[in-house]
Amino acid sequence: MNRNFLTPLDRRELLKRGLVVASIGAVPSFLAACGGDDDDGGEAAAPTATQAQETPTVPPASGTIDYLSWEGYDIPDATKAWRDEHGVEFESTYIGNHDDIQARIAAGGGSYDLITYYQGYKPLYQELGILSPIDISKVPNIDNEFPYFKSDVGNFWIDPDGTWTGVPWTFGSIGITWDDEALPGGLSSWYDLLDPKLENKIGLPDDPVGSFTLAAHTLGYDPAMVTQDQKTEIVDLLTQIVSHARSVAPSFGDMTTQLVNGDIVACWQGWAAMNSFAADAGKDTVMTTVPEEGSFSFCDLYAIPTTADNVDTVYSYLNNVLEPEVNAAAAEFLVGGVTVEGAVEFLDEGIRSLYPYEDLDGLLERAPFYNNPPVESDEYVTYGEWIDTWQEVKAST
Amino acid sequence: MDARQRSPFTLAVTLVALVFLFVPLLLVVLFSFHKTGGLSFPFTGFSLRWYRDTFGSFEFREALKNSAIVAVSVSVVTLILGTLAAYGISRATSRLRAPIGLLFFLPITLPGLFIGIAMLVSFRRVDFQLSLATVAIAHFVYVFPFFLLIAKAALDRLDPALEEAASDLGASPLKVFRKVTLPQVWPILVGATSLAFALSFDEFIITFFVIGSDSTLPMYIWSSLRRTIDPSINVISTMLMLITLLLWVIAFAFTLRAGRGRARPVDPILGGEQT
Amino acid sequence: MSVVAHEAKESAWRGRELRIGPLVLTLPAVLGLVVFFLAPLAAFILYSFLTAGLFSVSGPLTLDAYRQAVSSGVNGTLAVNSFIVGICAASVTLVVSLPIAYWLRYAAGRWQTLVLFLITSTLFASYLVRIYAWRSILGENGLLNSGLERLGLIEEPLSFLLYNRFSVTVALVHIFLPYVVLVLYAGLRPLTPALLESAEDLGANAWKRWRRVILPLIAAPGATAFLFVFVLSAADYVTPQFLGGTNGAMLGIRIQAAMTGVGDWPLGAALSLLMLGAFVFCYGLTALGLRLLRLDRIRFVN
Repeated sequence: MNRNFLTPLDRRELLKRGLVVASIGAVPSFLAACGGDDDDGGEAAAPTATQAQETPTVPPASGTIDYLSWEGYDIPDATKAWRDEHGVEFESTYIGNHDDIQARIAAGGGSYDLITYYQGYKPLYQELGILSPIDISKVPNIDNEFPYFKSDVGNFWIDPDGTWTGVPWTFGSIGITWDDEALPGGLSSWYDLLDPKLENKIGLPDDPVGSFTLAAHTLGYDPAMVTQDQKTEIVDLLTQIVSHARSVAPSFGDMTTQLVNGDIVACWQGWAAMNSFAADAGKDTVMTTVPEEGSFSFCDLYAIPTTADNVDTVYSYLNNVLEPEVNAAAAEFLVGGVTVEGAVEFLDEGIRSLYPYEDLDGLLERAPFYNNPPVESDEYVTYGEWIDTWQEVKAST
Repeated sequence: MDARQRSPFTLAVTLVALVFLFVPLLLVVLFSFHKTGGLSFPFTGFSLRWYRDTFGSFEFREALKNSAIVAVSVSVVTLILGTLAAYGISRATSRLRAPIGLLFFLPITLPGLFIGIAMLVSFRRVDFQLSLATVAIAHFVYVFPFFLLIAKAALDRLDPALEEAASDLGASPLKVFRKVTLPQVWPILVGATSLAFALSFDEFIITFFVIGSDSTLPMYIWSSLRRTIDPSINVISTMLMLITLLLWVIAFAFTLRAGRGRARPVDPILGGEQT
Repeated sequence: MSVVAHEAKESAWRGRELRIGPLVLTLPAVLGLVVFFLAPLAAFILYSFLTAGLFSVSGPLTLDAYRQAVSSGVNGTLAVNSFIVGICAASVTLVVSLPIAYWLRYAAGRWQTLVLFLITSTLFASYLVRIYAWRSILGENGLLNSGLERLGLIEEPLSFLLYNRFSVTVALVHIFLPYVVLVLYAGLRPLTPALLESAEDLGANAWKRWRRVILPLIAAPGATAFLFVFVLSAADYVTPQFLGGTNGAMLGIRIQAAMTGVGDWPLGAALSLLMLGAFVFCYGLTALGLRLLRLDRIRFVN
């Protein structure tokens, strides 16, 4: 079973010693060195897009793309020009929960052409046989990406043998989201959420993997390597959060609605995009910040599932999304980050200030990408085990 | 004889119940016209912007279309199989009647959750791909008992003497059905079909498990509930309520009509004579 | 037509001989239900005894799923919660429906058709729509809180209205009220106002009329309606997600999560069947109770 990830012991040690904000110089070489020491293979460096020697060609686009993923990740406005030009329609099925993706595909539902996956799901999705390899030569704009995204040392979207399974087009970091009108100044630590004054006034999304990753990170552990003792601590922390919360929201959108309606004032595992969702619903005082303990980042990768039947159009779409202007428009819409270097200049002030592009690597150190708990393991908490435990944590009050 | 009993207590309860039933629904309709994006008070003014947005949405139109396709298929199949089954059960005297009747009513007793997941598991087992077809099948199972209940009740109430007379005069069973039975019950059948359509159109609990990559209107509402709610969901809900309300009006009207031409007034909904 | 032949035909209809004839017409429907309803249920029962994979199952037969279902303390809590919510929803609905059914049957007069229509038309107000509509009413800035604040009756919004068992129950009552009213109304139909008046003339006061005349008639349909609401409420998985908060969680969500989350089908099946078993037990208990009280055979000879 594929268990490739950046040697977490090193990263955890770094964090514990407080070297959270590593110097710009040290980190990339650290990452590169780890890539070289990787157990499988021992290749000198992770593959980059320029490995494709043939002249890159983008296939023609037409018809309908059957999309299955989060609402908004089909970025209708940002890709409108491309859709109009090629006459492509999107038939979108929106999920409320990442697990809906593998649930629907594995249960044999539909002929989806385009999905996304959170980077931590890669091992599971490969085991389930959901991802088909991406011929990166058909996506020449991959060259536009930041070096970090072109050289995937965590093997979240590029296999050790150079096969691409996902295309990074946006990323984000988790943080505390709050209503500044009700809670001026916000909070600076995750533990602030447990303040007695906020009893029954905080919210959290029903996201088992996210909560687990965040709790593990806050306690200083790697979610992909959690022992039973560490699990008890995680369960403890999350149980406190849940009992302090008004409700466990079925989705981020719903959690935003709760903020907008005034039912809650702050969130565990919030997300900057909620600021923009809330503003659309009429409340522009919602804000998000990464607190002092840091958090985790997510990179949602476009992927082509094995059920796809309109693959050429998807390649054309992927290429389009990596155009600097489109990538910037997408980031503005999602209130997220851009993965394309040239896109930064197209971002307006508010969105550009969300993430420190001049020190992207530093941010990704404070709020790293993590793997999910493994599918099978004898010593660590497994994915299935955690999903089960999460149900218990949710109902524990 | 005027059989009205005076009872202020029950009248009060009924009025409160009507308010209780309608206020949430009226709120939904009200906010579909909201000028701004919120769904909580205060109400800032009227606007049709959400209606424009919704009708311009490709996904909404697709979902509406799919719901209609499924509902029409389900209604037709239910009408045919259901009428046959109702007639068969109603006129039968064999001892097999009881177990078959039980089979027919069983789906009502099971929560949609169980029916949905049992079908999901089975479709997966035989590699029957989840799609609108599986949704239609699931809806048929769900809707069938309701149709049967109404059709059978209507058939049971018919005076057998008419059918016997026709039969005695030499008519074949098919002719008896066409010329004697059908003219009497067709309004109720139309009403029951309308009901079947409405039930299918609004079904969510089972659909959630057996649907593929397509979307029906309730599934679309579900997806919308997942994101930050704005009045466009109210628009969709209002449309859904209007459509099903229209169907209920049809059903109700046809059931009432079934009573026309009778000596005594007919009880609405349940048919039969009013006493 | 000779008298003999006529009699033979009559008895064929009303008699109890074994005649398959008309039953043949039920064949297509029977086939449909057997293939698409009974077979899946059977497969489902089988699945609860198999070993779990990710969205798949495999032999050998095992009781692991049941063991897992029963050993988790949380499942017990959820089950109790579901039971409580089910009972509350069913009780409230029944208690409120009785007076309404009475009014419709005996006191409505020419309003009967209109009110019946109004009540039953809400049957089709979409299930999902109602659930989030209650959020607009019970929330911090919802109708109730805004109204009460505007009237000066409260200073801070009441937060106990939403995200708990109460709001889940309210929504479920809202969904099932029309059904139960209809069932009770149907149950009251044989009891004509004339008969009710005779009871009055014979000296029975209102209370006695209820206890001796109406209640026995309504016991069986009432019990059926109660069970119906109880079962469907306890198994609901959408209402608690949106209105339940952290202490209103119910077993239905657990089952749904098992099926569509990890794809642990045996666990989902085991939990469902245990729940189903509990329901069947309740059905049986009710039927037994009615029979013992001799309420199951109330017949009206008109």
